[in-house]
Amino acid sequence: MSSLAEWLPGRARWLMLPSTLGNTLVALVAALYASSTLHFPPDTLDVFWTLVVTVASAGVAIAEVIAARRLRILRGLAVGRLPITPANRLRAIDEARHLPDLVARLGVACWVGAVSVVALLFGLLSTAPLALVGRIEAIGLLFGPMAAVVVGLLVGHRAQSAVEVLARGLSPEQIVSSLKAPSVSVSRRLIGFTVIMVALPSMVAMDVTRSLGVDVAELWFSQPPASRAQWLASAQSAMILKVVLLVGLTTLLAVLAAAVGATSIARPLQRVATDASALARGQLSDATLIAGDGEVWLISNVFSRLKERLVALVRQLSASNLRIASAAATLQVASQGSEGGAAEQAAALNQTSATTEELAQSARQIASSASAVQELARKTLEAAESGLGNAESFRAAIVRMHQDNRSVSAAVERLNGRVQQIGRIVEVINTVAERSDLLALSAELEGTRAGEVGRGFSLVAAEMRRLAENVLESTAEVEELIGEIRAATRQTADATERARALTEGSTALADEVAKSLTSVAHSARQTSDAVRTISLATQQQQTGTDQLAEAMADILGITQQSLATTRQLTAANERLQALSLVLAEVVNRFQRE
Amino acid sequence: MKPIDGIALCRVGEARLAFPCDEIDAIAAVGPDALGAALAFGDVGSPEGKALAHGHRLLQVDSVDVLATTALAVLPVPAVIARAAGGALAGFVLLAGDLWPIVSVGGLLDFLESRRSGP
Amino acid sequence: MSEGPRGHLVFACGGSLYAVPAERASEVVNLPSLTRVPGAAPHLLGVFAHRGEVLPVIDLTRLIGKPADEAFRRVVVVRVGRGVMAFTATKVIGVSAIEGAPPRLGESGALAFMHGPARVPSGDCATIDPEGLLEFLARGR
Repeated sequence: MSSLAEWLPGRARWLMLPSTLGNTLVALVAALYASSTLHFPPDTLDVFWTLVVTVASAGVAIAEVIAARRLRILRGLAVGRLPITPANRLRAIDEARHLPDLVARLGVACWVGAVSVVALLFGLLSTAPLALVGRIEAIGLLFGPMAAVVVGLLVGHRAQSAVEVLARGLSPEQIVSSLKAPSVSVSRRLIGFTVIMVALPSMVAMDVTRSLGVDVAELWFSQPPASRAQWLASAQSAMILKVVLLVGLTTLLAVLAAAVGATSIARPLQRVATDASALARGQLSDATLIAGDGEVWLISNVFSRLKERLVALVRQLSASNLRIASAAATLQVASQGSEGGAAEQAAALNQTSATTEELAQSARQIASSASAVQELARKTLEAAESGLGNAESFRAAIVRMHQDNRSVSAAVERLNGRVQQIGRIVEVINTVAERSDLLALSAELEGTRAGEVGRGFSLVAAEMRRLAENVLESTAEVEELIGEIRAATRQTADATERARALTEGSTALADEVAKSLTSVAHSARQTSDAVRTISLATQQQQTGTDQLAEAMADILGITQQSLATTRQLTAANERLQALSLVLAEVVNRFQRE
Repeated sequence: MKPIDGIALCRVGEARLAFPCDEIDAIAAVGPDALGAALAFGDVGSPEGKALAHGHRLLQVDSVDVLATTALAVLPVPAVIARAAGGALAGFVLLAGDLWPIVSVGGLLDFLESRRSGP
Repeated sequence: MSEGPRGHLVFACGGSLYAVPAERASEVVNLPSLTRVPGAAPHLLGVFAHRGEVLPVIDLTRLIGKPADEAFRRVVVVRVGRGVMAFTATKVIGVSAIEGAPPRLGESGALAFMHGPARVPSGDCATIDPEGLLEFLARGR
């Protein structure tokens, strides 16, 4: 839009510039033609030129004012009076599209009007003959349409670019639906070209030739006869030059008009061709309006709308393909997962099947083992029952031993008491003996001191002492014996104590053994029963296990089928993804710029 | 032997000593310059106890009991030990089966001093 | 000193045999608990009261400078003119007659008052001169 805003200022004048320049150029050519083919009386040429310039200027000004009024929207947009909205742009496009026609018609009107005014005023203001005025009028009527056609074509050329710039960014569909189809047809325009191209130079050539013929005849007679041949020779080249110049100029103008007209038809067609070939190459640009007149407009419109729809279609296709691709990818992941799961399941089932087989085998083994166990249990029961009897007798023996031990302990206790009593008695004996010893010793000393008289006394005392000493020695032995007895009784007491603990422990042990044997017997009985049950159950189980193995095999088959199906699905999905890729490639062939 | 009136019964470790009361000026606390009676038995003695004051000198014993009985019979000192403790031994009294050597405070202190200073 | 064999009380102490003249040995008693005497020599083990008398107990083993042997159970009470004393004894052998006078066992100290060896049925013994020994002991400390 900014580019449009930059482009807009001065565009109305730019559109009208070919009109001004073209009309002025043709007017100059016409004036030149008039001045070289017409014979103006002296002093009238100035008046003629003054009139031509004045009236032509006025005509150009009037034409510009009218044209400007017809370009109100465009000018409004250019100066910023109107906002650049799609609606305003459409109206401006409409203005620009009708401008060439207007300019052509206006040109014809202005030319006719201006030539008539110039001829009339020239006739009134000068002494020129009426024939001259008529000739002036004829020249004006000859060049007017030509100028109008040329100017119309030039302006049309610019108007086409203006329309294309204004239409940029608008949907061709929108433009076409809001604008009326152009009225001017290509055939009419071609007819006009032909007329101008063929008729105008011929008429100009004819008129120049006629005028020259008249001039040559008049001059021929005005020359002295002697120098006529010489004059003719000199005037011939000048006349030829004049003819060539005027006819050439006119032809040039005609060719120019024809070229412009042809361009205005060819250019849109070329654009259409270029776009179409780009489309054929797959370069898909956004559809733009290609301006043109008549049928060209129709063609370009159809093409633009077609292209627009194609672009939309390609976009949709691209988006759909994206969705297909993503869906296919998701499906692939899912099917891969499913495949993995199915494979795992198959593996697990395989294992389970093997396990089931093992189970069946184990069941058979159990059945065979069970009878062996039953035999073993029976033997155990017998052994336990006989062991129970043995344990009972062992226990009784222990109890007897315990009782014996207790009586030994009591005896030892009594012995200990007696020994202590003996010890005390020995102690008393010891003391007595010791005292006796001392007494005897003192008596001996006393006897000794008494000399010969006390000799017998001393001897008795000595004997007594020996006796006491013997007693002391004996008591020492007795004490020693008592010590030994004490040690022995202590050992016995310790031994009986240990024996007591042992027998008590043994009794407990015997009890435990009996209990254990009882429980062994019980267990053996139970085992025997249980084994019988197991045997029965195992036989039943074996049947069940065989059935299970069969069912397992069936399930495995089904799972493998499911796996195959999943694999097929995966393959199909891969093909779908490939297809999507191909489609994406096709869509991408339309490189959207 | 002359009977004696009033003695102080002292214990020094396992040993027994009896002092005539009239030789004791006071019973005091143990001072740093008190002489230990344990030395007379070849012992070091305990650091605690009581001191018997005799003039300006102190004799340390473990415990003191005063026996106020008058006219206690005194057993003579055997000749073998007459010179013991530098002659400080004055006799023995027999109390409840136990013999108590009666020792002169001054004599014992003299003996202890001589033993401490001598070899 | 009279002629001819004299009765001696023979006793053992610390592995040696000693003899005292029987007329000097008044009695043999079991060793009671002793009362220690302040400032006494090491061989004087203590005193004990016996029949209203204070008896000093002398360890013969220590007296002659041998290592102490405390295995004695009895004391031999010896009485002389000046006083009384008791000798430690492991075992009292009895009264034996000893002939003649064996030489002194030493020139100085306690051994100067012991003679030997003298033959007795139990073996060789040292005879003690009680009067001299008591004098010697009383002279000491």
